[in-house]
Amino acid sequence: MNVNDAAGRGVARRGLARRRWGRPALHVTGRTVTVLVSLLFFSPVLMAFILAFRTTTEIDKNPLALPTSLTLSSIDSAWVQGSLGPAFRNSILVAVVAVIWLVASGQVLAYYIVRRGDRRAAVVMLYVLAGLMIPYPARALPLYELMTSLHLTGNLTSVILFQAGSLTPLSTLLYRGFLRRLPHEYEEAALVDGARPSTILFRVVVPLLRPASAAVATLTGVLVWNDFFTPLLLVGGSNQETVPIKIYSFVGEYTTEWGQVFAGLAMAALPIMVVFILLQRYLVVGLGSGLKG
Amino acid sequence: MSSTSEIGHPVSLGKAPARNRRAPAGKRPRPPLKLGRVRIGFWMVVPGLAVYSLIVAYPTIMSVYYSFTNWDGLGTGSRFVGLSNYITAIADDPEVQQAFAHTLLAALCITVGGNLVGLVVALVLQRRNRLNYVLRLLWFLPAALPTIIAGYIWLFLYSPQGPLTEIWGKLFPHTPPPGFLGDPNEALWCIIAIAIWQSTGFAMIIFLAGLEGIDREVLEAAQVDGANYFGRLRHIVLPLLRQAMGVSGVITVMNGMFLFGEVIATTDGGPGYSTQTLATELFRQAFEFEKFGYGMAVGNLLAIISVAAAGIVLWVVSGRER
Repeated sequence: MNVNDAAGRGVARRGLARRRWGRPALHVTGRTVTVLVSLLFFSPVLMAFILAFRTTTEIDKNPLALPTSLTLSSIDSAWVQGSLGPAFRNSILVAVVAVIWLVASGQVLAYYIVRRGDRRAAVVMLYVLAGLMIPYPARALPLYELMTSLHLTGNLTSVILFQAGSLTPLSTLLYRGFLRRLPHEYEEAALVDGARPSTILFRVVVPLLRPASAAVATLTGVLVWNDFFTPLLLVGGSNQETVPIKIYSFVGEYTTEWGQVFAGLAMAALPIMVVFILLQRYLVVGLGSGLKG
Repeated sequence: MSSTSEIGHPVSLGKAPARNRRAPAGKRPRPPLKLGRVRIGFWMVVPGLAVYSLIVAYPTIMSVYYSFTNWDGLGTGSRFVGLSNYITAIADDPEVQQAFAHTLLAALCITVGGNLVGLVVALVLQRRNRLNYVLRLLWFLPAALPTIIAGYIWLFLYSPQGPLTEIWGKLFPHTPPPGFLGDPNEALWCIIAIAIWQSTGFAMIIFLAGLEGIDREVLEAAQVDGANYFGRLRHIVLPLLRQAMGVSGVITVMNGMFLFGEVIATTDGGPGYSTQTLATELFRQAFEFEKFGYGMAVGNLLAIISVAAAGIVLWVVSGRER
């Protein structure tokens, strides 16, 4: 009995994981191989960060050497000559406004769909989730034309609007997954106490959805930050370029200042990586329950 | 609906009882208050729906309309040309046909490769401990990079003065190094490799979330019955991961179909025409040749095959159920 219990708990803790390897030497070997393969997979990113601290001439001479001395000259020239500063300002502005919109409208839409549960809610759901099935290249050109006729090309407003609208289905889908698992009791208590539906939404449900909001904000924030195709159409060549578009202009056709490019890449990638390291557990949970709904 | 008046109505818990008590049409009494059904007004979803309609629904409809015209994108007169854009793209334009073939090959390789590697990594790293958390991050971070940045990192890795050529020279000093992106026969494969590198992390995260959801007791029972690791994997874990496979498969196949950033960053469609995809093609047709109507036809074809591919993925994943 005792033995069975122990075995059961072992499986429970490990899930599918292999039984502990017989000999510790083998176990250590397996771990070492895993770590080495993981490092190899990650090495291109690592390389970009190391090369950011070298000059272009050094890189051309010997691409693989570790830096003998750290120089900040590449980073400085990327920031100043490449004018990454304004691009960062633009990217942050777009990401913050779009994410706030997506968190707000996603919750309201999902709440309407899940808790209303009538035919009109079903129509709204189909209408919004259909957007997930239509890939966006098809609508990129008419969107460009629309923004031109609204005199919004070359203006960050167009990018913000685009991100807010095109990620609405994803945000709604994720919130919908969370809401369907949220117990009714809290809302029922508020309802019995005489709260209005909108009060229940903002005072009861929104606070309960905070973990979902962390997941939605992380995921949509990264997608907005990284997006390239449509922002290139909308603000490419203007002074309102976001970070990925600015990076795109770093690589000339004939001369490539690799030191400056990698400095730019590292600076553009750093905020995303920090966000991920800080919020990764919300992301796993969010994708897990959001996509199951 | 104001909630104060609702409170006076009988309260029914659950959903069943209210259903059969439909009053005849006309003046019907307010349905009894259903707990768990909090009805916020439609006006609250109007702003969200409005922005979504402006950005997604309207352009989608317009793209279908414009694809039947010869519009040049400048707003000056366009003529209705029926299906001729589509017929040209499918039957008469060798460039689009090549781009079509490249796109299908890339999407297939990216979907299979990214999910296969992602699944294996998720299985290896599923145990929760500090080392695995760090390793998961190493596998995931490339997926978090903008495609344009990933493309530039690999442009350097593949470049003739870059590290891969140098490593090749050290390993095989007597064979000339591959041309990588400079070789029309290799360039597309090099780009596919970048895209697989970027899609692995996302697939891994979805599979990890799927693995978390598997009931441990089932595995436990199988182990007690003597099933070994691969037996449990094949007969229990993989069938239970079907939903995760569907989600991850659809996302990667859609991304694979819309291969753009990696191409623009590395080869811009070259050398020759060897790495054009439908996404780069629609961009080129519209902005280089000013054939907006034609570009939208290409874009709509891409949309149609993407949705079809997503359907095939779901069919393959659920087909094993039988």
